[in-house]
Amino acid sequence: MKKLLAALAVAAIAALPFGTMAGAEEEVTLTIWDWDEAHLTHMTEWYHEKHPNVNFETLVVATADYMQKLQSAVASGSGVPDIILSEQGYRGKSFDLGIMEDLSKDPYNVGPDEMFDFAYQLGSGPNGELYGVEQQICPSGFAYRRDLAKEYLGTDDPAEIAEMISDWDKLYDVATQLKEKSGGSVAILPGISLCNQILLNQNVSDYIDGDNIDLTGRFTHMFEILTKFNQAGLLGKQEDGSPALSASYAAGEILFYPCAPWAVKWNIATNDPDGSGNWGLTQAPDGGFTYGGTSVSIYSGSEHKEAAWDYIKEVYCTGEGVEEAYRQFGFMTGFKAPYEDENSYFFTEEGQYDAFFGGQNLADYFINTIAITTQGQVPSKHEANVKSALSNVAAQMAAEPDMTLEDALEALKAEVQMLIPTAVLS
Amino acid sequence: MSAKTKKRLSAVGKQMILIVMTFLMFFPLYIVFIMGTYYSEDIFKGIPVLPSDYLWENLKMVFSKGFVRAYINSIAVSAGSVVISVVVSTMIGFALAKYSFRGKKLILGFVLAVMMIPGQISLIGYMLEMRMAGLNNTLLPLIFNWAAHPLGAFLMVQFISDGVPDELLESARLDGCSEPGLFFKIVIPCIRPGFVTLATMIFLWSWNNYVLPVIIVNKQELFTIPLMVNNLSNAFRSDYGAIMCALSLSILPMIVIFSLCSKTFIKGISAGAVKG
Repeated sequence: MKKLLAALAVAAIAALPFGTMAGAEEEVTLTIWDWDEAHLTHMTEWYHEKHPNVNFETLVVATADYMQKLQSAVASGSGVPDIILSEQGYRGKSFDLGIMEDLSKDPYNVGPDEMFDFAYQLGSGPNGELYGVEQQICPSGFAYRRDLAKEYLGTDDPAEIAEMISDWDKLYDVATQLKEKSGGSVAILPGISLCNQILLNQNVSDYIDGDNIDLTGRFTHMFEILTKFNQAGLLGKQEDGSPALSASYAAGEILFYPCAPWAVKWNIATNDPDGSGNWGLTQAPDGGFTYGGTSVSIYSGSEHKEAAWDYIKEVYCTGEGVEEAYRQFGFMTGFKAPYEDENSYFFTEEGQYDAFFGGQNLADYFINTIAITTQGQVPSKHEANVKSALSNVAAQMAAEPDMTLEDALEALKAEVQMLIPTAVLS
Repeated sequence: MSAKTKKRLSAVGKQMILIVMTFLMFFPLYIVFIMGTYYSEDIFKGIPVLPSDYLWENLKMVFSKGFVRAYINSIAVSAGSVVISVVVSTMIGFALAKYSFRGKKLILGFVLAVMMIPGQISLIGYMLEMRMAGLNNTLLPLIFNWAAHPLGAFLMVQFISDGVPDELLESARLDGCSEPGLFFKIVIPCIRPGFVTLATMIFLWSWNNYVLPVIIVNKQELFTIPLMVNNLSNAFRSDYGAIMCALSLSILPMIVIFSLCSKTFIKGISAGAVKG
């Protein structure tokens, strides 16, 4: 009998999906690089309390330096963290390094049905791999100042406003009236770089096939809208990431801002600290879009993949850490399970910034109104280059408001060709 | 108008120009100090000329992010870099300027060639080297980077060629001075301005170095000032008030060092400008 038990035990150990038993009691040290120090520190300490055998070596790396540091570590063959973050801006390039575990395969087996469509798409590779799960979801609508909405739209009700701007033509009409009524002191949206991001992430499609890139099919509609707004002078001058944009929230110069769950705190509440109760959230014209977002991946060369996956599951997928991250930081998982119960804490408890948004249940609105209409663009190296090219074109359009659809498309093709010399553009 | 009055007016004019130039040079620095007293989002509501009341909060933020530790690390790295770079560069300079040996021109050519190569190209190789030497997770890679500094070696070759007469070295040798004695007792005192100039420049470069620490440093407790300051921004928000406050504190050693060494530094810079 003893021999049989011993044989069974050996067989059970051999059947473990990973080479190590890190999930058991073995001491493990996971390395993580992250730019959000507060979240990183809190969640790793929280996890360590529950799993004392798992220790963490954390490093705060600025977003702008992350990719360079990661590439250097990969090239030198040392120091790559067990858990890798990829910001939306360079996610395609990061996935393209080929150093991340495919979470759709054994032993992870994450299926598309478990996640929101956009979350799965954003974490996917070009051949159906799943390289990362969302750190926090990024389905976006429009945040608006209630005082400006009442003054210029006659209502601050999210549903009524959503109806008023249900498509881009309607938004154009509202923007024109707003410009007239305010004498140009209030713009419908911030500068063209942000408008560009909204439209880019709304009309997603598979337009990249190897080196064949269908820019015309993918971006004609987008540039039609963008040039129309730009030529009419309806957009603000506050470009993405600029101090002017930060200052505009409190100054009341813009009616609508793109707003994902992370932006509630970092864009709205931080930049308008006295604006509690004066903000609302509504749908964007033509539905949701992704705005920002960060994926969390496992380094394929890690010696502690099991422990890394346990941590990711617990904190970013469906574990108790999801609730902790939501309560402490407002982070919302990209997995559907925690939202499936209608009595989930996401919907029944008041969120940190619900009062700031005039008592709106933000989690409920983000999940049940915005996320269900949101699609994500599958990232790739070429897609990241196209995005860079689009930023350059947006800057040109800001400098030359007369640029036409054709001009913009030509400029985009030239920029993309420069960044991807092997590309065959149409 | 008498000649005396003309002279006086001319002096007043010169002083006025100097005052205006000083104002132009120091105003941006002043603004950095003043911005450090503001709440980040208030900085951009207008040009902040007068101090605000947010200094204490900014200081708390800066010190809560490990400023003291980063300061100590930066001082250790910069001081170490200065010592190793100046000593090695001066030795190279002495050898190449005052000794004749086979391959001397080749070495000098190599030093010049290395100067042409951007430092970033060798970063990955340097990382590998440091890993193989087992120096990862220490501050030593940030110091050793300055040990083989081609510009330093080149400058020292020039300084020693021009500033140390061969006759002086010969006299010392005749008096029984050893070769190391020549280096420490004759060469270094003769090239003091060059020595201080190189030390000041290495200190400044090392203090402000950003790319190498970003790539090499993998531990929070080894952060230097530029890394720490950069971490006052995150993906979502840049705390410009705290950043300016940290920058103000971090540039103080630079100002002190430059003020103390300015005479020698300028002497060193202008040395060799006029060939005798």
